[in-house]
Amino acid sequence: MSRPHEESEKERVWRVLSEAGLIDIPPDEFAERIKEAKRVVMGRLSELLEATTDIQECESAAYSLATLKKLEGTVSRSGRRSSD
Amino acid sequence: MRPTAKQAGTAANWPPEEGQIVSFRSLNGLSNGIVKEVRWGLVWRDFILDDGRVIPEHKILDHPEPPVWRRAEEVTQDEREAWERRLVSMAEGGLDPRDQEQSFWAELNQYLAYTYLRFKQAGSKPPDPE
Repeated sequence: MSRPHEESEKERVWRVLSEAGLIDIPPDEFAERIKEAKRVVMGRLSELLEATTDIQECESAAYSLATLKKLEGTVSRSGRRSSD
Repeated sequence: MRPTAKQAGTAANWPPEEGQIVSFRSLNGLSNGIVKEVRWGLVWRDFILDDGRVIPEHKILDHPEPPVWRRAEEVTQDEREAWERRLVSMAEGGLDPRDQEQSFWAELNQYLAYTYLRFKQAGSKPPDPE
């Protein structure tokens, strides 16, 4: 039996991103969103390191984490400049 | 001289083509722009306007509901790495992601959404029961 309104994949993605505040990020919230993305990637990375089965995925997560750290530095610097 | 731009149609002939006028929600209310290109990002489509502004599809009026999305697994490693290199290059070049409707803002927004979707399910643990 199907539910009256079964959430489609598109609707689910929209809801997940909306709840995470990742659609149209306000300029002063980038630092916070980057921090949250880092937290998610680190969680995944630690799982992958424990499992040691998917080296490529592990490298990919590590690369993403490094990118987020670089971006975090830029966003926090430009944030300080704009508040001066 | 630029040919007269037409207002974008809806539903049946979505997305609008190059040269069509689109209306979108902006910081200052509703704005208009002429489509130069529509291209897929890591998660959603961006509308590149002829004045350089980058508008996500879900901000364009009359876009399909729910908006179309791309699955994280459809993004190739090469594409993701190129996107990451571009972001770092824009950051190192001194661009400010706070400049809304510009490339850096648009690409960083998509990258964070993509990264979150890609790693969230496996990377987060269920909340502790109270």
